[in-house]
Amino acid sequence: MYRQGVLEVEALAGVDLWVKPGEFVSIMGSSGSGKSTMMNILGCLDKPTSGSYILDGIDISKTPDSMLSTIRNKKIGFIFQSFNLLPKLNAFENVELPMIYAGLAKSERRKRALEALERVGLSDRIKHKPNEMSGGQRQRVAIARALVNEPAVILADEPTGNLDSKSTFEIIDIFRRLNDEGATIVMVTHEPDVASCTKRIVTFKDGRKINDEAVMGGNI
Amino acid sequence: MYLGENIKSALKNVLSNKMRTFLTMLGIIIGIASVITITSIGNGSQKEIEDRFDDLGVGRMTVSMRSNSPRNMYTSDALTLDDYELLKNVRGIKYISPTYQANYYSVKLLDPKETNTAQITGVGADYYDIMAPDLLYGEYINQENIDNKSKTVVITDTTAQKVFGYCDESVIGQQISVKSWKGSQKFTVEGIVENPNADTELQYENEYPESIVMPISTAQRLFGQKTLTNITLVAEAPDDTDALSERIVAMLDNFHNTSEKYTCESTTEQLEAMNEVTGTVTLLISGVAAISLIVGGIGVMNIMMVTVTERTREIGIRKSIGAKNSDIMFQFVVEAIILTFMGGLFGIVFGWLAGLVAGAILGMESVVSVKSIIIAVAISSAIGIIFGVYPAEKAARLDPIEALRYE
Repeated sequence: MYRQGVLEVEALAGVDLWVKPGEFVSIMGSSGSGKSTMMNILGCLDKPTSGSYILDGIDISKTPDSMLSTIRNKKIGFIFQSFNLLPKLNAFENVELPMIYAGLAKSERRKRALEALERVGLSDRIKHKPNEMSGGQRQRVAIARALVNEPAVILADEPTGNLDSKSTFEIIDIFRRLNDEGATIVMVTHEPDVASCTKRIVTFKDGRKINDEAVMGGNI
Repeated sequence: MYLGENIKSALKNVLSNKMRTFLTMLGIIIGIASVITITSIGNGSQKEIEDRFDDLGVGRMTVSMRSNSPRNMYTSDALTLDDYELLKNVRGIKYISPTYQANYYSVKLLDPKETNTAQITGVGADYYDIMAPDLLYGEYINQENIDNKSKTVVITDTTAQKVFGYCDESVIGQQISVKSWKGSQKFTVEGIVENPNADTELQYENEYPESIVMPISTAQRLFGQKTLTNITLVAEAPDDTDALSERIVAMLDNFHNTSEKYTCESTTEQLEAMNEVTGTVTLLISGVAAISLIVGGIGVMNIMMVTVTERTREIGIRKSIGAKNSDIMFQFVVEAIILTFMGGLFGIVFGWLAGLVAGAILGMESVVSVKSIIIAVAISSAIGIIFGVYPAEKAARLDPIEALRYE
């Protein structure tokens, strides 16, 4: 990532987490460990009750709620376990949507949406609706949608949870490629295999960070 | 978010469930259609009245006694030929004629063929110039007829057709028998004029009385009356009748030693008064019909609430990728407006058709004005806004985390 940004969280129960631009971090933990709350805060869907969260130089904890949608739009790309595409829109329109909210012109939207779909290898599926695509393809549309506004961080919440192992591998491959190209990615997962494909694993338990280590071959 | 994108996506949503959309719109369709139907009939009858008055001419004024009860007709204040003589020399009057009209229910023509009723109008010499009828054959009532109290009448072509079975030159000079509560008398046909309302009268054959014009002196003697029904006149300056009207009323009040006992109304005033009545009636019925619009609006609100609940997850997704509350709000308001706007358009079409059908059945013209179309569209859109805002606001306020979790 080319931005001079830093992610900082001091939440849950004394959690202190720094994510630097260009990192590929996986967050692990059983349910109730606080990782969902963590993701909501990271995604600016929720604000910490105390402590601070600084995203790309912006103190989110001090940002008014009305501004959060703009920050989500410009700084964050969400990827969900259940894809969360709009069923009535085709792949292209789904990818185009964040740019409509960003107020981009139609020609610019078209150019960037096609580019993003190409990056995830779906150039031949732009007119397909979500229900006409496989799970792996849907998740790739979601990835294209997440990166189309060039966010500071891509947040993936169990992105491979609903996928078979072949599709899981494809998605992880795309993540690694995007990361190589400079994207900052934070991914929640409970699959150790998936987590080991990232560069750093942070483990939560009972609202606390219990482990934070680099993956072999990765770099912090 | 751009308006165009919003409208496109709203249309997509609205059209994806056509049956529900149609049922939702039905209330609005019925409401707008009934308002359009009623106003089109109202406009039509107003236009009909105006056409009628166009025939009557401009600048024509009618002087009569203000009478709230028929009893007044027999007071000493009733208009007589003396009043006519008094007004004859007033400045600003071009033509003036006294008229006496008998209650036509009790009058009929007997011979050669019997008719149901006849409207006898006794007139002065100026009456021809005031009414400007198309004289087909013979001559109109003149001063000599009046002076001699001659038993001459002018009838219309339709009456000639009905009574003699034909209408040509040879009817002139023939005898016609008039029967009233004063017995029956024979009159000579002196002239035949064209009936300007022939079309309407043919439609309601037996409801219109035969129209007979005779000298005022003859009519008064026939019915044994000294009073006048009114005095008709044409002003020299048809655009400025107010001053003349005031002068005439003042003179009569002075003459009879009364106060505001008489009126002098121009045809334009009468037209305005009649239009006002039809306008009020139309407005009143439209108001009742408009209540169904409110019911329709509530239906739209109801469905929008359901839509918002159904699409909670979509709202969550949109918010997570950066939709502002105002974007969501706008999206759902636009959707509600599209529902009611489309309902309004259908309503205009159905209302227009219903107006044509109702007009044909009632024998009235139906006129859908641009004004009523614009108002209908504006009202239906306004309903969309009014009843769409609450569900849209509910959607906009959804918590994205909760919304994303919604199954």
